Formats: sequence, structure tokens, C-alpha cells
Amino acid sequence: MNYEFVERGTMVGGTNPLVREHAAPRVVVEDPDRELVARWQAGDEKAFEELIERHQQRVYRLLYRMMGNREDAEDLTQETFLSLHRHGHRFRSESRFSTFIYRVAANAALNRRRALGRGRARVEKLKTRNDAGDDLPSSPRDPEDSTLGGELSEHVRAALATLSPALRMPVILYDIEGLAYGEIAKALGVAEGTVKSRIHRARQALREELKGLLAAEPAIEGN
Amino acid sequence: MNHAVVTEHLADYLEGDLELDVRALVDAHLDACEDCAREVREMQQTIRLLRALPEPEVPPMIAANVMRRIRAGETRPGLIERIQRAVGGVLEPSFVLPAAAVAVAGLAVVLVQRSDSGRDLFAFATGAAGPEPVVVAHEAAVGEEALVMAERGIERGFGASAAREPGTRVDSASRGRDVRGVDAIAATPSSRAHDPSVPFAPMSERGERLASTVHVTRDGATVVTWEQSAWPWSHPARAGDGAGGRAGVLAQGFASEVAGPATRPSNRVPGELASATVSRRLAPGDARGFAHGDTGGEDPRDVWLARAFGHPADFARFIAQHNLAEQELWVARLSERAMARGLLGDLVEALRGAGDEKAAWLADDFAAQERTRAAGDLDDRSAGSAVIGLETRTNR
Repeated sequence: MNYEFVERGTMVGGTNPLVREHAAPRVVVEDPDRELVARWQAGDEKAFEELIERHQQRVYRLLYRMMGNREDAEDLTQETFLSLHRHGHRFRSESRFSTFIYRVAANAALNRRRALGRGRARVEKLKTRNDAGDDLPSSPRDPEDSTLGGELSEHVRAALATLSPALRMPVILYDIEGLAYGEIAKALGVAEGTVKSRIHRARQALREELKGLLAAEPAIEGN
Repeated sequence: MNHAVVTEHLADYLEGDLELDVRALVDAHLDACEDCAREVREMQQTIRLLRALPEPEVPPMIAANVMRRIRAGETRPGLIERIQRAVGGVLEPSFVLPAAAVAVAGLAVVLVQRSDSGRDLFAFATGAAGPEPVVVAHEAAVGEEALVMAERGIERGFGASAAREPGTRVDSASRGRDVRGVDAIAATPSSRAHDPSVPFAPMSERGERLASTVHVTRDGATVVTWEQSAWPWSHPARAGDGAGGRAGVLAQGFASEVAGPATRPSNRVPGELASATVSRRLAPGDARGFAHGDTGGEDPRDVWLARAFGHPADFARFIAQHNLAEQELWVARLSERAMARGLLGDLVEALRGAGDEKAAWLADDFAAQERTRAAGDLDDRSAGSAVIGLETRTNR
């Protein structure tokens, strides 16, 4: 397969697997984890432990946003790393190791959600309260505050949970985790244009969900 | 500039990705149109709320717990995986066409002899869920591919059994019985040349249709038989890993016969070096949808689609053991074909309905393809040769 990474991470040709084979010759991508991965693949378990330490935070964060609760997030974080350990010998440096991890974690989340009933019930409850006008933040928030208050963030989390996983995953990866479109496309195995349009649709759906709160929010100039 | 144009540019506007002149036009409209201005404002607020979500605290001991579970053996590979690792290059090509997997099935049958887990392995490699770990040509269950070794090119591997007279086909799993291979199956006079209405067409690795014969057995089953060449495995010294015993010797002898010196690193074997006869017993419903339509059986992917319908869980396992890039290619190519034949929705359903984790995950991948193809997204700008910056943004 041809991966079209050029040094310093510029990607040519998008992520559409149908067009990859016509694109430029492959250059191995720069990956800060490469040395650790190589050591681990050569049998050094200590290196794998270091990889966990290095990536557990972002894996847990993603899974927490996807699942909406700590127990599932922690459980799936462990599963993600176990799965990596089980299958990681197949990882080759065609993409960043961190992107590979996101893909494994994303699959773990998508597989798990089907079995979940309670997350949905919690969302419904919150939504009812929201619609009834309860529970809105009692005072306007400080616009300088970089993080949301408990109640407000609970509303945002609940709104996220109403999205289908196919919309939720890219918007989490983009707006919350700060990945670029290309990395998300690789992690989710979809075309980059798809990622973009899903993010936009997700934001629009969130805006609908959060409408009641937005009126109280100050406008943002200049993005 | 009107509402529709602003809506069209909204996503790029919010990202600051618009050309300055277009951006100026959008800004001008926003100044004049309160509805659009409110929409932009609300979108910006939504994005800001998302980016301001507090970070969850990561629970302690994740690494320690994972390492403990690893040491307890939770990630130790099973037989199947050890064999996959041993044969390494077999599944390496970016898109392995059905014939290559049939060859893998052949390997599986050879190894099955000495392996308690052989049934799994066989089911895995062939997509069949046979009731018996050992495959005997004339007892092959519906959907299984029984491998019947031809005399050419492989005698050495069989050791004592190799002394069979020319023309006798050696069933690798005959358990001492004198099995006359496909001839034993085709004992009826109804044998005939391959008929395009039969929903199964063996393909070579290059996608060429292979000559095959169709037999109808006494009990009315259809058996397709064809000659298969090109055995794409290597690493002969390790080919028997995990199986041991005679199977290991078999695989070694076989591999060195077809692959040349044991040290040769190639994972491709020229087609003329070895051949085997493979027979497949078809179930009436095995190749759902493939008996009809003029495209059925002409494309090598149809065989895989049939397999996906027939044995979704095994199919998903097969796909899942490729590396990620290969998985994407498989899904892309197969969904393209399924879409062309109007089967993509059915395929997603079949995978979902399998009650299997990997199949469900694969169903998601296919469903994503279905949506993006339906929306024409796969032909979008990103598919071209545009250079896309891969810078990492920071939100905080």
C-alpha cells in the first residue's frame, strides 16, 4: 500500500483508500513514538509500559467523552491497550502510533456502546430536566474561565451523548482533542471530506441541543 | 450573497478557512442579516463550549493494571495467530484476492492434522464452520473447501504418502483411508463443464477466472473443482510453528518445494511452481444473490461477498487480522462491489445480525462506506491530489 506522507507530516492525496495507489511514493512518517514502538516490537515489555504511560491520558479522555462515564472509560482504556499489545506487532510506521491508538480506541468504543442502556437513560433524564427549564446555570459564567462549571459541562456532555457515534467521534477528536482532519480520517478509516462534513453536522446538532444555554453565553469575536 | 451561500460556506467560515474575498462577502451578509448572524454566533458558542469542557481526571494504575493483565497471559496469541505470524508475508499484499486465501485454506488443512485447534483454524481460514476438524474430500460439509493435493510439486512434503501412483489425489486429511479425492465425489454421470449459472467461480490471484468443473453428487449437492496454483507463503523454516509434528514437516517440505531455498525471503511464489486441486461443495443458499444477474461470479470480489453473507463472523475475523490499511482497502473494494450490485445494505445487515463483535465493527465500516458513497463524499476534494497540511492544532 502506498502511504503518501511527506516529511514533517504533510499529507498528499487524502485518505481515500481508492486513490492511494496512484499517489506519491511513500515516506515513513515522523513519529515521536517510533523508538519505543521498535523496542516493544523487539520484545521489550518495559517499552510498552512507557507507551501506555505516554498515551493513557488521551485514550482515556476520548473514551470518557464517548462513553460518558468513568467505569466504561477506564475499562475500555485497559481493553484498548490490551488489544494493542495483542495486535500491535502488525503496526508498521505507515501512520503515527498515536493515530493507530485512536483507531483501536475508537473501535473499542463503537463496539461497546451497543451494549449500553444506562447511558441513554441518563441522557433522557437530563434532557427532560433541561426542557423543563431546571438546572440551567444560575449565574452567567466568567467569559475568561477556560473550563465550564459542573452543571454547564454536564449539559454539554449530555448534548454530546445525543449524537450518533459516527458524528460524536469526529467532533470529539477535532474540537476537544485537537486532532487535524487528516489524522481523524486515518483513525476512523473514512475520507477526509467525510470527517469535515460530519464535524459540521455534529456541531449543528449540538447547537440545537444547547440552544437554551447559548442565549446566556457571550458572543465570541474573531474565533 | 444570500442565506444559502452563507450556509454553504459556514463550516469553512468558522474554521477561518475561507479566502479573504469570500470571507468579506460573508461578513457583509452577516452584518445585514440577523438570522445568519445568530446562527454563526451560536455555532461559535457551541464550539467554544466544546473546547472548554473540563478534562477528566485519568484514574491511577491504568498502566500497572494493563501490565498485570499482560503478564497474566491475556494477550498471548492463540494458535491461529502464531501461525499467521509464522507465515507472515501471506497476508501482506495490499489486497489479497480470493485465490490466495484459498491457498491459505490449503495450508490450514495441512496443519489441521496435528492440531487440536484445527477446527478453528480451518473455519478461520476458509470462512467455513465445519462440524469436523478434519476435512475429507467426500465428506466435506457444505461451504467447506476441501483441499485435495495434486501429485505435482508436493510429493516430498508428504513423505511416505508421496509414493502414491500418478493420478491418485492425496487427501491431506484422509486419516489413512484411501480417498480418491474429487473422483470419489463425482461418481455420477452428471458431471459437466462449468456452467455460469453456478454461483461460484474460482479466481486466480490475478483475478482471472480459473477453469473448473462442476459435479453433482448423488445426494444432489453441487461441487466445483478447480486447479489452484501459486502458493503465496514463505518462511518455510517456521511454517510449522504452533502445529508441530508431521504437519510442521509437511509444511516445511511443501514450502521448500515451492519456494526454493529456505532462506529465500520472498513471500510470493510464481504460479507455475506448484498446484493443487481444490473442491468446494456449494450449498443452495451459500452464495446468496450470486446465482442471478449477469455480473455474478465475474468479479473476484463476489466470492468474498458470498462468504461475507454465508459466514459473517468468520469473514469479519478474516478481515480483522489484516493491518489497518489493508482492512480499509478490503472494505473500500468490497463495498464498492457490493454497492454496484445493490447488496451493500444487505451486507451491513448480515454483518450486524451475526451477533459477533468483530462483525458488528466491520458492519460499521461498511455502513460508513455506504453513507459516504451515497453522499458522493468519496469523490470529494480530499480524494484528489491536494496538499493538505497536517498540522496539529491546540485548543487550549
